[in-house]
Order: sequence, then structure tokens, then C-alpha cells
Amino acid sequence: MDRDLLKQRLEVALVPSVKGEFRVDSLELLTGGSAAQTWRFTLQRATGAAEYILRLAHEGSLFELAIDKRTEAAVQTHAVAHGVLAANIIHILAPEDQLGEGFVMDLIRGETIPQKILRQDQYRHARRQLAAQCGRQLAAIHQVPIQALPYLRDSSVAPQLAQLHAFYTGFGEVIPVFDYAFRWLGENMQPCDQTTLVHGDFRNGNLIVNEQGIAAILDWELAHLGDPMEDLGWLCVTSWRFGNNDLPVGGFGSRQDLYAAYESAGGRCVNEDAVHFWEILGTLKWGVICLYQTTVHLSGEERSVNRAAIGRRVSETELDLLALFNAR
Amino acid sequence: MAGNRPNVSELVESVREMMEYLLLHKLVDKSQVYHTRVAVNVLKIVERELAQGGSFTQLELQSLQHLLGMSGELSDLNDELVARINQGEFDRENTELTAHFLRTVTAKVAIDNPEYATYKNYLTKGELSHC
Repeated sequence: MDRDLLKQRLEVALVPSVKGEFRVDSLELLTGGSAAQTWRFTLQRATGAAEYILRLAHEGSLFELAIDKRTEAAVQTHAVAHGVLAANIIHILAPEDQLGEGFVMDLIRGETIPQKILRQDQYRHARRQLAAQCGRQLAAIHQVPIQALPYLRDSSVAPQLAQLHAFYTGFGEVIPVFDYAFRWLGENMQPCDQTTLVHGDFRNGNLIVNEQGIAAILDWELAHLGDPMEDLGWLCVTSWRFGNNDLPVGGFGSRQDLYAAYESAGGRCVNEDAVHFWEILGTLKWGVICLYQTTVHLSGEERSVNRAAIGRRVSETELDLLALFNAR
Repeated sequence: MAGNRPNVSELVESVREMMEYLLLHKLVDKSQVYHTRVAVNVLKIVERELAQGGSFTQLELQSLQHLLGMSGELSDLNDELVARINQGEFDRENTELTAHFLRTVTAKVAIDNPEYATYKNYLTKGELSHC
């Protein structure tokens, strides 16, 4: 959809959610990620101007591990209501808006690009806080009441592993290290005594960071119910350390800081074996997602050099899996 | 018959240089810059793969033949390896499987992304580590 048509339809769509006279201004595409587009715009009102973000799902088939945009918006809203740092959603798109699936939320200023967060001097102070802040945010997410989230699927370890395996075998690509990892995970499944909300993609890259640290948590589209240790493991996956391998938490912090803050903020007692298990599963999952991305290109569903290139990142995840198996 | 110079590596290199040094700095659109950087990176992968002249395939084939104790086509041997893994062969401490994985995966990463931190640490320390 071109920008002018999008702007026109967005102005109509926002009428029920925005009080008084307004117009949409400075609509700009920020990123066309693989799962969704992110647009920024200004809402001009008599009372002043404010900036917002429009998240729009891509047309076509939904990435099968993800939830739809309406569900994502509902989960994010519920998490915000329970004290989690995420953007307030002001409008969920309806079919009559003719914009596809998506929602509009407050723009929260800060940096999301991991390499900048890890290397730029202005985030020096923030970097020292981030691991503990992640621990507190994850503890908050895992304490969100789940009775209000009956529409989220149970993706605790056994169903999640089965789903990931079916996803992998569906591509017809043979990666023996992955088969070995699937076997190991099947033999070493960790018991979990409590089901919580799991963000599912809590990592460096989905955090809006300012000079003080985390300003907001983004990308709730992989949210599900399951083992809270999954989020801790995923946050430590080597791919999200962006070269800082000696700082296991997102490339910015230590496990001790993460675990201590998590436990003292009311999170469950950290089971390090379970975190290790989920780190292996997470590394494998990222590898399978790379395979999926490249399949979208190879099948002709969406041709893109970016999706082609990501197929050659699979070997990175194979190497990280071997390092994880070597570690214990 | 080999074609005239430039050879295939030199041709790829010339396109990559054009994109990297002539095109990239002229682009304004962020998405175009990003995709062009990715494209340059893809050509670097091609250059590295061409430079080792198919020795990876040979290495993988020999390693598989040794591990499985049989000969055959590369894809058949990989299928056989997966079948044996799924049947429960190769326990956790199997050093031959570990050695095979290490040999083949490090050879792939050397082509795909030799700057990858896990790989660079491996080259420095002589073993894989994780913290």
C-alpha cells in the first residue's frame, strides 16, 4: 500500500480512538522487518502534537510460531496494565479500516539496534544496569495473571519441541547437527512446575534502551504460555550477544546480575539446568528460523537478498550448538 | 574449457567492488543501503567459497565416509547420518561424531562468516567454549 493511501485510511481508522479534531502527519516507514512493518507518524491535535508507531502485519501467510496482531496487541496491553515496560496501545486495527492486521501505539524514544547499545559511549551507564533490569522485567512478565489470557497457546517444552521439529522437517533441508540437538532436547526435557506468560522474544534487539536502561520491551508476537525459564535462556542465546560472547546476557551483562535481580523481584528460583536447556533450544530455534527465512526466498514466496543471505547464518547456530554441548 | 579472464572469482570480485565502493555511498534510502550491504556480504561469501575451490565438499564427504564406514553420495550419507542419530546411535560422549561435526561446521563458518565471535574464539583457544 502506498504512503498516501495508508495515511488516508489511518486518519479514518483512528476516529473512534482519538478524541477531537486531528490529522496524521509525517508518516514514515522505519523498518520493513520480516514479520511486520513499523511506521512512525505524528498526530496533530489542537492540544499539540504527539508521535506514534503503527505496526502492520505483512500480508500473506503468518509465520507459524507467531500470534496474530490482534492477539499481540491484547497481550501487550495486558502486560502494560500489570506494570511491564511496554508501549501503550491506543488503537487496534479492525477489518473495516482496510489496513490489514496491526495496531497503533505510543512512540517510546530510545535505541533498539544492538550494536549501538553495546558499543556507543552514551549507553555506557545503561549497559551496567541492563542485565538486572532484564531480570526485573522478566520477573514482572512472569507474574502477569494468565487467567485473562485464555487465547494464548500452551507452548511449554513438549509441544514447543514437537512444533519446532515439524517446522524444521517441513523444509526438507538436512542439518545433522540440528537432528542431534533435537534428540538431545528430547532426552533432556526439564520439568516445569509452573506455567506463566512467556514473552518468547525477549532479547537484545527487542529492547528500547535509553541512557538509563530499558525504556520498553518490543515485539510480543511470539508470546505464549509456558516455562518462564525459556525467556531467560533465550536472552542468553549467543546470537543475541552480537560478538560480546563473554557477556552472556545480551552481550551486556552477567548471568549473576540477571538471576539475582529476577529472583529478588519475585521471579521463581532460577533453575540453571533449565536455562541451559532453553538456551540450546533457543539456539536451535534461531537456526530453524534462519532456515525458514531462506525458504521463503527459495520457494519464490518473497524474493529477497536478505532472506537469501540469512540461510548462510545457519552454520553460526550449528557452531553455537556444538559449543553448548561442549560446555557441560 | 576455461573461459577467458577474468575468471569467475575475478568477475564476482569486480561486481562486489562496484557495489561496495561506487554504489553504496551514493544510496540515501536506509532500506536500499541495508540490502546493498547484505548483497556485498553475500558476494564475499561467494568469493570465499570459490577461493577454496570445492575443498569443503571433499572434506565433508571424506569425514562422513570415515564416520559411517561406507561410501556413497554426499546427500545419501547425510541422510544415513540423520537416520542413525534418530535411531539413537552415537551417544553423548561419541568423539567421532563430535569430531565430524566440528570439522564440517567450522569449515562452513570459515566460508559463511569467519568474523563470527564463536569461531574466532575457537581459532584462538583451539577449542569451543561457552559461558
